[in-house]
Amino acid sequence: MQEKREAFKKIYDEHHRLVYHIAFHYLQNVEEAEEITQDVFVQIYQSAAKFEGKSSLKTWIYRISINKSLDFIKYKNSKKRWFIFGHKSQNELELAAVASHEQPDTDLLHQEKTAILYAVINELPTNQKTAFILSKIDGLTHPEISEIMQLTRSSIEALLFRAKKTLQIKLAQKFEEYQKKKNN
Amino acid sequence: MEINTWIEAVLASAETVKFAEPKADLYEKIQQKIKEEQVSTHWGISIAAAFIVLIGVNLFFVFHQKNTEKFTQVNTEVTYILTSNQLYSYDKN
Repeated sequence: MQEKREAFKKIYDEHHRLVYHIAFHYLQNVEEAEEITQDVFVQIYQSAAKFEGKSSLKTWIYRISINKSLDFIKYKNSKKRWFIFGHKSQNELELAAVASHEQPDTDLLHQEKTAILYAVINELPTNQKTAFILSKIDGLTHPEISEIMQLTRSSIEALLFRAKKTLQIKLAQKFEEYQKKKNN
Repeated sequence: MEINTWIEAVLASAETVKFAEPKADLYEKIQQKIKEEQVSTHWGISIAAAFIVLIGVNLFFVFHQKNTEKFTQVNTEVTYILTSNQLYSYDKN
């Protein structure tokens, strides 16, 4: 039991930032990212014995984190359908994203860009979103992403290409809004 | 600013995103959640076991009752046959 606890603590120390950041990329909310991190580590603790070692521990943790984050988004969306009046506008979401970044060392302009980027990333289809986050924000290589997503490298490249195209189109639409805000 | 330059700048900002660190008490919260999950699993198993025992006892009584009814019925029939045979043999004599 003591050995299990020590091993778990080691896994936690080495991977908790990774899990937290993945959850944050998907949800852009500090409290929710923390909740996901807790759930991920509870699952790691419970199913550590089931880990067969077919992939690396990091890949396995990535997969759990992504699945938990996507499940949480699904749960949140289904909840939103029932509470129509509690639905936040896109602007509110953008503001929440900026506010929850808590980056004292980052300038406002960068924060604004990041918020806009997240707003458009959130509109991407799930697979494109995952591929983009893992590649551009987390800086993983294509073979690493293909192992995590269990897709071929060419599929990952196609997903990233389509994600970038979609983001460019959506950002072009946002550019006018950005210019108007800047002029005001 | 030109639109394409702006788009590229926004896309490039993905590579320089910095994030807040998770809170220091996160590990304690996880430990607490693991304990809670273990307790709820323990209760789940106990309730499931109690249900199985209850169903088993019920089945036993139903089976026992049916057996008793069957036995009574057979007993009545045997008694009847025996009695009628006796009567028949008595008549014969």
